[in-house]
Amino acid sequence: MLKNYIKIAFRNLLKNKSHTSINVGGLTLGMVCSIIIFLIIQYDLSFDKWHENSDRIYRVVRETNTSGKIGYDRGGPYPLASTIENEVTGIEHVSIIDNNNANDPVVTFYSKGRLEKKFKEENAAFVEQDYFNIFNYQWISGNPDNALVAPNSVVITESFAQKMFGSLDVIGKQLVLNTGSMYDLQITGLVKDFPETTDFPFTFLASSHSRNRNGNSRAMDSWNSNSSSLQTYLKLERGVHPEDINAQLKPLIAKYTDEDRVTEVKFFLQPLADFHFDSRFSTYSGRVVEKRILITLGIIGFLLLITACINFINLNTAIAVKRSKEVGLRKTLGGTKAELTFHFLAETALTTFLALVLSVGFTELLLRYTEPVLGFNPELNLLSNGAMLLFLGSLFVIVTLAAGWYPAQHLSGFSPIDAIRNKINSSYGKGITLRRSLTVVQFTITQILIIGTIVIATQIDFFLNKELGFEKNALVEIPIPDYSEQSVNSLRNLLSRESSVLNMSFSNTGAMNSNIWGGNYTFINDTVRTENNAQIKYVDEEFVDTYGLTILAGTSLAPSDTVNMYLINESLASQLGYHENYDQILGKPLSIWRREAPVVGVVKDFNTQSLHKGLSPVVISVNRRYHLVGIKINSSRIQEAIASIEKAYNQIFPDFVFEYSFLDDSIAEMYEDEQQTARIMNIFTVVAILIGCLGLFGLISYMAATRTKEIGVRKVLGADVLDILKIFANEFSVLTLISFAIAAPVSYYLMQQWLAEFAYKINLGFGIFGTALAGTLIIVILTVGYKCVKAALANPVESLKSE
Amino acid sequence: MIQAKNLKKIYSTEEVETTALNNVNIEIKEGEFVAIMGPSGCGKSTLLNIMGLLDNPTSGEYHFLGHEVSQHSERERAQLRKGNIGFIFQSFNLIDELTVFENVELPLLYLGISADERKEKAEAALERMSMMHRRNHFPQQLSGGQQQRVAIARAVVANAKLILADEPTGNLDSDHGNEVMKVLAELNEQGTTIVMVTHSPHDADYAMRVIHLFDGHVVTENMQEGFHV
Repeated sequence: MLKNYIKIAFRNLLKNKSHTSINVGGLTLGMVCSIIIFLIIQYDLSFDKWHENSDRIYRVVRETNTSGKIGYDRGGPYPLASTIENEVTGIEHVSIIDNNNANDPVVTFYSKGRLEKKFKEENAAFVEQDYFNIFNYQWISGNPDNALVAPNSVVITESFAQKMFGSLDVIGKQLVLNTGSMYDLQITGLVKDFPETTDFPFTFLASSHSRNRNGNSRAMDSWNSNSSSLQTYLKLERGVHPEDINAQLKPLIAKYTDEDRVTEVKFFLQPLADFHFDSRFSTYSGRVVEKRILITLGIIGFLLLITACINFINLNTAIAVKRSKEVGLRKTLGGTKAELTFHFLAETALTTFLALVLSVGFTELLLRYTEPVLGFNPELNLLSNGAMLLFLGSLFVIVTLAAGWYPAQHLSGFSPIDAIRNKINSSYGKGITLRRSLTVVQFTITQILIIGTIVIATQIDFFLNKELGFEKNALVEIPIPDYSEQSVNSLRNLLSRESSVLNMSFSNTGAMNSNIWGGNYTFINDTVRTENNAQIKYVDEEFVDTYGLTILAGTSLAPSDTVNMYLINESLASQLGYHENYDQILGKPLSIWRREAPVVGVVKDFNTQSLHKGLSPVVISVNRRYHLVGIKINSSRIQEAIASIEKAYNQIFPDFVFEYSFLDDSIAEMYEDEQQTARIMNIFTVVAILIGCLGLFGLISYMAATRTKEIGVRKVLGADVLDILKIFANEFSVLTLISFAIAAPVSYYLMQQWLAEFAYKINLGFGIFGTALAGTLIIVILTVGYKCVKAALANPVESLKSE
Repeated sequence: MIQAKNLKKIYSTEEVETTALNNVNIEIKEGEFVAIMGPSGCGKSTLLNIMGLLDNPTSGEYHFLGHEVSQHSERERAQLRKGNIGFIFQSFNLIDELTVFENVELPLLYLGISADERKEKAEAALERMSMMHRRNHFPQQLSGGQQQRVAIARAVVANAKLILADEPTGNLDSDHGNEVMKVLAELNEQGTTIVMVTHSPHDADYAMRVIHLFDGHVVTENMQEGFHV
């Protein structure tokens, strides 16, 4: 029986080629998207799942509260790990991970005094021996129990060994690590790389006890110096609850940190299972995906499938008439409703199966091009990916039932007498109401996606073009590995000789950067003492000019060797009670990190961080702790300028690798997450529109075909093409308007939620919604129009004769 | 075989009620060949549908093979219909997507008969209608008379006890029409009960008995004296 069903189903599919293509095409589009979404979700859920006892691995993170302003940080002070080891019970292993590299460090290999190889290695870190007891590595050579006990030892991974030496025979070899400080290291261990799905992509793990040639720059004993690049990881003893540890961490703050701190600090444990999903803290892979993003993606995939199923249901109930005679006969000849339902479901199953096979093929093809969009390279691996097979199986069953159940019920429900006597038309039963409702659902989904896409694109455009309060064009920033007076002066001298270089300023973080320095200031005005947190910029006297900041009161900074004056921004002046009367704060003493100096000027507010965040109070002072140099170049001589900057850099820092970035590019990169969301949304929206158009085209083709006679009669009676077009366009325009009425408030709510995270955001005005509606209407009219005009232009004599 | 008592069938829409059958009483015995005649709209087809268990009467009793079926659900009727009743239509009603063989095989499929047996029976039926040579053709490739022969093969393939024919020659020229009527007469000879709706007095001559309907009533029942063989 089943064989018979499939045979007949095949013939039917072949006979109605256009109808089959629309059904298979729509389902394939929907399925490809859902398979790719499944791969994304599977990828993110598989991060760091292979560690033994992964439920006992934690990171110590920090919550700060400065006058009600809550902040989170993944880093802590240097002594935290050793203190935990000595004073907290319930800990099996503890290790720091320290990758305090202002710039990507350079690793160099010398053989017999000759330089063999040198490259930047961003995945380098200092860890303790216990690191290998927390995370599971597979050892190729070296002693897992003591490889990093001795100072100046390093464990490398297979990929690093291949890259550096082209061989795995590496134990005992010497390498030089240059992080700004130089370390002479000996390889004591070789391990396999972690799989790609890890938030610990380190390839170069040096002993944290290593001594550098010019002394350690870390604040090894300070509890008050916190850095995101210094993190503490723990493995708890079996049966120990993280809350027990949190309780033990609490008194450490009081015991070791200053009592009069403005900022209230709390340490707590974050479980390994949360690392990849908690955007309050970053990871070493740089990829953090909130679970709600994954859920949203899952919902979008599901909705795309629904729209594809809706096409199927609409088209199949519309053309059911064509098969009514067959249904009537089969029933007359003894077929029961259940048998016929099964028969039609088998047909749907065949269509779904075809679509599924095509989807897998297309997905395999598409995956070669998805990396720029997704940020990683997923693979199907059908044979080894059991979860994927299960997903495809469920997809097959669910889509078959979702798309096929109603049409099968509808068709098999025809009364045999009506069916045989051709008394069934396309509005038989609930067919037409259902088709209209489903079309509304489909249009609603599509319009929500269209509105979402427009909002995201507009917001990104806003991010990239908003006035920031400083000049970002033709400004190149170069990280500098050391800020000794000699290096800085030499570089400055070399660069000032270049005519393509207009101006330059050395500073810790430039004007806007993803790295920020912050600290607490004290300001005493008469008897009122204000203590609060501010961002700190250490700069040279050229900073204001190079970045084009605006001085509102007082003067700019003068050259100096020590901190002897402060420039503050509007926000800080207002915070201190000098809102708009900036002149009155000039000359008043401000103290930061125990250095007191007068305020000499107030600059107009400028954005120091990505526009996700708002303005912060900023203190700027001259201090030589530079990490980068911002160079204003002649925008018509860019190539020449870069070449001369590179030459100068290599002359001053021969042990390092030259790297530069344009400030406007670095700023655009801060919105990479949003741009990635936009790229994915664009694709899904286009797919939703395509599916919708396919379905609409199928429906309208069918409607035009069944109404040929009506069109003929109308034309004979004097209707022109436009009149005919109106008959069809009206129906779909009304459906579009109804779905817009549903989509607009829903997407307004959803996009408000998305925008809520940003300090600077666009208004969801009428323009966005109007554009979406107009766009949808145009698409609908274009889709419907072609067939209608064709039908309307047909010679009425022909259509009437054929009836 | 068939007993109808006080059969009534009323079709109602929102505004109009149409009485298609009004107190119809009919009895048909096994082996009979009965023709039903009457003007358009007199209720012939409605009666045939009820006899063929495609529809239920609004009221009255209908006994088929000893079962009172007037209140049976569609599923129960379908069960009883399978294998017991064969249908022949004016417009042949073959399924265009199926070959001649597959059309004939269809009733056996719904009876759950094995593939081998289906093949054997369908081929026998086609042989009987002299259509074996066309077994792999599709209906559109056949003439009207040939299509009707295939439809008859389909009606008899499951050894139906009753064949209901709704104007079986209506779409055929006289030669093909006669051919079809001869086949039906032969089937009746071999013991199959046949009930045929027709407008043609010539075709009615093949029947033993003619029932005349008018406005939903049985007006006369004539025993034919010298019907064709």
